[in-house]
Amino acid sequence: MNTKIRRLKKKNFSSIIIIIIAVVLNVVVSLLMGYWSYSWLPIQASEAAHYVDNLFAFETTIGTFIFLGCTGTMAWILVFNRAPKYDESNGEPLEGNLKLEIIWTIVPLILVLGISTYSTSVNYKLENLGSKIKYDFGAEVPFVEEKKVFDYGPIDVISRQWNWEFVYPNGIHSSELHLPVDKRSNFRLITEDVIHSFYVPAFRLKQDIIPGSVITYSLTPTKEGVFRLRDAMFSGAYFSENQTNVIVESEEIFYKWIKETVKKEPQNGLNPAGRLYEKRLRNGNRGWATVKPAPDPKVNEVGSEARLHDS
Amino acid sequence: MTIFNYDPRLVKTKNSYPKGPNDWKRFFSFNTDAKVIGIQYIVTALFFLLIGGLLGMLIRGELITPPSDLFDPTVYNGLYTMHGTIMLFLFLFPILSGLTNLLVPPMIGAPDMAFPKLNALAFWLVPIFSIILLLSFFVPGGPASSGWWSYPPISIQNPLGKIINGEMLWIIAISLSGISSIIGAVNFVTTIIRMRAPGMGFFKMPIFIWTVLAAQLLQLLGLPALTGGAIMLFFDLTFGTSFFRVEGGGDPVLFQHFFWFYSHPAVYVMVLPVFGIFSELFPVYSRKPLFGYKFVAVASFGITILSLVVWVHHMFYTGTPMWMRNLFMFTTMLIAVPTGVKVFAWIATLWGGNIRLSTPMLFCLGGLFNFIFGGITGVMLATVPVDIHVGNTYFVVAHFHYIIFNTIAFGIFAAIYHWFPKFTGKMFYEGLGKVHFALTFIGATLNWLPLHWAGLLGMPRRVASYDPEFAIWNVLASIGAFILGVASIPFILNMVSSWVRGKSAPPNPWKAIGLEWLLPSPPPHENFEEDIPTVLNEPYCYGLDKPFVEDEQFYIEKSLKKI
Amino acid sequence: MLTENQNLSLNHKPGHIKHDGHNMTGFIIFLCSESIIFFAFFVGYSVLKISAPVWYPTGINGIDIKMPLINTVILVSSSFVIYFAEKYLHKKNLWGFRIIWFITMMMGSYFVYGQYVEWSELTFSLQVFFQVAQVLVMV
Repeated sequence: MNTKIRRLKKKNFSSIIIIIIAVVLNVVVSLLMGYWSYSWLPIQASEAAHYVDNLFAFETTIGTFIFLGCTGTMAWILVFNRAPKYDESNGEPLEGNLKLEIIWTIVPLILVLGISTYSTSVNYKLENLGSKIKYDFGAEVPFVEEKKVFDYGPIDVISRQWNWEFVYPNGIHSSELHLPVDKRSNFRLITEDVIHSFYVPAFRLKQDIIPGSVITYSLTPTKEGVFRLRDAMFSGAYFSENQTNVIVESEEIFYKWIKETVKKEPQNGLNPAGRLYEKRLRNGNRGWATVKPAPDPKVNEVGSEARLHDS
Repeated sequence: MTIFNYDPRLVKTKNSYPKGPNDWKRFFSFNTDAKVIGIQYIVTALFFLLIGGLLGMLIRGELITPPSDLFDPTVYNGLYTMHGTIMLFLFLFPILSGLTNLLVPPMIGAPDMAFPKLNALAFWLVPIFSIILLLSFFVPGGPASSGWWSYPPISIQNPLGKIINGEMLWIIAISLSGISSIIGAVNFVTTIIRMRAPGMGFFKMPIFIWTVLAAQLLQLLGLPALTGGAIMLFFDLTFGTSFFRVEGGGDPVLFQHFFWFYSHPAVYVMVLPVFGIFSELFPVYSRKPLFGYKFVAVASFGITILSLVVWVHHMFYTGTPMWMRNLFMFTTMLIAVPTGVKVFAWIATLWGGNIRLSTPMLFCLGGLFNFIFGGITGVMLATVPVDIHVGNTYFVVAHFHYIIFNTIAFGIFAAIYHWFPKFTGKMFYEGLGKVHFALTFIGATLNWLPLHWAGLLGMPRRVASYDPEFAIWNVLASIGAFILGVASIPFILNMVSSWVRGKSAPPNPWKAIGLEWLLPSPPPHENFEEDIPTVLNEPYCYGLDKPFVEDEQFYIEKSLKKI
Repeated sequence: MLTENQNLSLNHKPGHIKHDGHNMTGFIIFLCSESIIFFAFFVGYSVLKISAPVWYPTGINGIDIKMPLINTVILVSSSFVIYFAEKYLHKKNLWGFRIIWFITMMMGSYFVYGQYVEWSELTFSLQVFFQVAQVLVMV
């Protein structure tokens, strides 16, 4: 009897050691993955990026722990519990374990409660989205009083099939979005046709632009550089060409740009989709049906399609 | 145990379908036998898997290089729209209906479905709407090309102004598919509620039946909302109404609510039966009872109820107010709880078992492995700040392919292999099955794992061209896609050759417990006919000294045709 | 079937499942499901109404109540009428059945006529519908 207990204890002891080693290894790998996860994301160029990346790293860590925990157990089973050839006997007939089942209901519940509390707090810290006001489509876009504090704006972000146009408070039209670094800029997001999405991966921010509504939006760039602005909501034939650059500059250069650009004569802005459509017409208009691209916007600052972007 | 001894030569069935000749022609007729309909569904769906897969490979061919050089972007848009539509409405839904048709009546001991004629009607709608959908390739202007979401205003732009256009045919096809699914759902639910074998209370049903019930109830609750939305979209497109048309005061976001109210639960309609398949197969191939049967059974309904209140997580960045985003983030995350219960129960079922790595088990294990991964990225997508960054990027594409192909299709392949001997009466070739698994697993992983990084770096989905920094991930993905294409060869070879000239299958080749395994292979026309067993316990009592049905020996002998 | 080998005795009572008689269950399930389509329409209407900057949308001056109300009353009451027709049929009172059946049919025809009137008054054109029909006929 005594020896049996001792043997049982010994077995328990060794399995406890194995479990501890496995858990420690898992924790180490999970933390490493969380640490690496920062490198999977673009440059952090806005105040939101920091929060989003931290949340993502947190989720990567927990996710890796759960993934390796589950698949590690599966691997263990596959190595040590394989039935020998021609052995068709039954395994240990465990029907369930109420305690265990309650634990694995409660623990994930607490975990998701924790994660959602964390992300709710991030949501409240960011507060990029202002208000969404419906208006009579086709009529003039109404002015929206923005309650939140911002340093610069409102810049009208006008999206079309398929080009972008930015209108500054002093009347500058531009094909690229120039923003002052470390200042909270405010936008009115407007579309003239279908749903588009204002998405700057380096800012970790995305906001759909809904026809018939004007949406106010604020963000603070925190890094100087050239970042890609991509339409992220499918908007028709040349959707993938509907991109432009966001140029974040120091306050000084930004205001100099504002002052100088206002003197420039309006000319045709960036419209790669329009060029592609012209090429298609030249080649015999083959392919399936599409609406005609919007005409080139008339802008003071054309910018450059060839500009290299940081992310 | 002696009762499992069999001599395969003894069990050749003479005529497995007493009421109809055992010939191939019945598969091309308006046959009302659920087993024939099941096979009709599965074969049709597998045909469309090939077509959808071909479109998928064309997409990956375009995306292997950054510029849009293989097709015109309009063609690319049509191709990816049709790829999604065909895979969902012509492959996944029909194939799951097929498996459900095959399995539900034998598993609950019913002779057939409750409404056999409606059942046949539901199937024959599939070829009808498939033809309508495929015809849209040939109408002027090309097929629908606004994605399978068909969001207005892009879907109602109708550039050529023609009345019959791809989008219109698309809506008609989807509505017919909805009608077919509703007929099927009414049929399945009625059958499960009314036609179970004596003694089979709800807590003695196989888990597959639980999940089918949960999934089909979800279908009944959710699908009409999409049908309503589709009717309004059709009116906007064809008759110029303005439910969603902004110029007339409509609201395009309203459609998104209708769409996702059904289309998010639709994923659970597809994944729940696959959870059922996992729950059936793990006990068989690890020779152990299903761990926590009641928890696993009830968790299906937890998923059903929760999945009806999560749809706004597809709309976190459409201007949804903060409180709504937080609320739906929370409900979405709650789904992880019942899902987690199932995953842990499966792993506990494997624990300490006697694992047999046959082809169905390999697909199950691969599917579970991928599902854990896809589930974790799903929780990441549920959190608002992360979703605002990666939503509508390739991260989402990778995530949902991990669920929809790497989990659901893996489960479907597992089910096809597992029940192939039962319903065709032939054994498949294990070696070819393993080759199929290896190629599918490698191809699927290579196809969708790298795309997560493309999405994290900010590559939007549905693009025909992209910035060169995403090239590496796309090249890997394209190679994976082509490997997946190759993987279909051993599968087709295996299925066709084993059905034509495979070894005859015994009634219970896997030594599984379950009413369907007490029938001969293939089962006779009305399954148990006038002698339906009385069920005593749930079908997972491996190694437990619990009888499954009254007088089990009699049914085993009967299935072996010794009586 | 059980003649070849009788060594095994039947130790159980053969079970039996009814093939038919599930129509009511199926129909109730179907009705509950279909009512959700109308739920979707009502939700759509109220969302559009609540969120619109100005109600009604431009070009619409109000909703006609009278005609739909008459139509609804007729449609709903016809289901009571047909119920009585069925009662007469059960009592084998054929003439009573025929008369009430005819009344039901008249109510139905009036409803269809009312629908035609209402739809033909709508601003968006049903001509498109006729064009589609024409094309289909041509095909």
